[in-house]
Amino acid sequence: MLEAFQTGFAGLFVWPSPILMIVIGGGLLYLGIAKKMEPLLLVPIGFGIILVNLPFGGLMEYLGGEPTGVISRIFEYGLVWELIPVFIFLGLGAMTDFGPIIANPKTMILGAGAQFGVYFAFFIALLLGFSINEAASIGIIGGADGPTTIYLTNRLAPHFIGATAVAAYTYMALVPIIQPPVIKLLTTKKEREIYMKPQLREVSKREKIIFPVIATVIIILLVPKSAPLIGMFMLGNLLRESGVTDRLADTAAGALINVLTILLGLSVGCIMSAETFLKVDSLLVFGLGIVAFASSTAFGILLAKLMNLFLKEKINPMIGAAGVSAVPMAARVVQKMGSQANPRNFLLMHAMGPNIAGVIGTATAAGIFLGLLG
Amino acid sequence: MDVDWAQAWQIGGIGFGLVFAVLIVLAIVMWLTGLLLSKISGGADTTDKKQES
Repeated sequence: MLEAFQTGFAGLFVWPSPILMIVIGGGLLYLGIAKKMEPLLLVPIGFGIILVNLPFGGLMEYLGGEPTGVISRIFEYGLVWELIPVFIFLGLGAMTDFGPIIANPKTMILGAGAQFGVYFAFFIALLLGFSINEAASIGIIGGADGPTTIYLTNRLAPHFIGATAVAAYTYMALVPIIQPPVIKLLTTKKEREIYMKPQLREVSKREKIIFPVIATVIIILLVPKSAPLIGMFMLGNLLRESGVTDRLADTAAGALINVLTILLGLSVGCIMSAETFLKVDSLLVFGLGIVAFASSTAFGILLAKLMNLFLKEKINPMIGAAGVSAVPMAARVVQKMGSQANPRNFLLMHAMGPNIAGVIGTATAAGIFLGLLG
Repeated sequence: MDVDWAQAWQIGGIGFGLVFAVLIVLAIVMWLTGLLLSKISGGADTTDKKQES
């Protein structure tokens, strides 16, 4: 009987090294706890990485193709069945105020500009030898939207789901570090100082109720495969804005999204075992993620500069950087840099427009990839 | 791996074009909806602020 008992120590000293993954998990915990970078995600992901790389725990076990481990069941029925990312979108919708894009619809175009980075990274990945489906999953990291990245990768390149998910969430957490150098590189001091009036027009309750309904109809008619993500996102927002479903909106934006975030973070962390993550391809995916993310930021800024050639009232091109959908971190970076360049500037609400449009844009881009490849 | 570049360019072109088109159409429709609603309510539109007061 004693022979059957096995401690985990022997399983630690093999290659690919679980120890290295445990260190990576510890690094994410450090970023989340000490540096307060996306702690809601990096803490469960980091802990999940440590958990799954401790040998013989069996959390991610499969038997005859059926999940038998605790986390493999969550992964299978939550992520592979696509329930968690889709319902996270419901919660995100319930947390989102569409006021800034309704008040200033032209900022929606900036959300589209930032999606150019998705396609730029798509082509770079193809040049590096990835298949079209894999390249699409890598490119979507540039949208800086974790649930969308997971949703698309699960459909097109499920073997990369760990690498793309961790890349998306890590880079989202690193927005305040990645974006400022790109913004400074592509804008002059004078451009960063451009003043934008802080006041957006008031948006009526009726407009806020109509928006999610109209947006659902238009987007899903144009891109049917975006229905799960866009539909849930807009339903969540309608629950928030209708004024008659406060309990549902509170649950979607609170308890539901919190539970799903724990399950998502833990299962994403737990798919990052040493043997699946420590491969050249996975590391390359992780590296390409930053190309996708930085180029999305860059193209958002360049589009804002292009728009300035035609606009009578100039916009601060930094708000284009918020077109990546890392809400609200990207908008906060713009706000901070804007007030540093010109203390009179308060760009947060202006940046929230492209930021929210970025979420819609990335979900739409994912729907298009699915329509063409899925 | 051999890449079908014609398909890749098609995906890139259609994809980016369609994302752009969707957001532009949405922007125009919302702008028109805003105009229409303000006309219908004839300036007596119930804004969030007004409702609160």
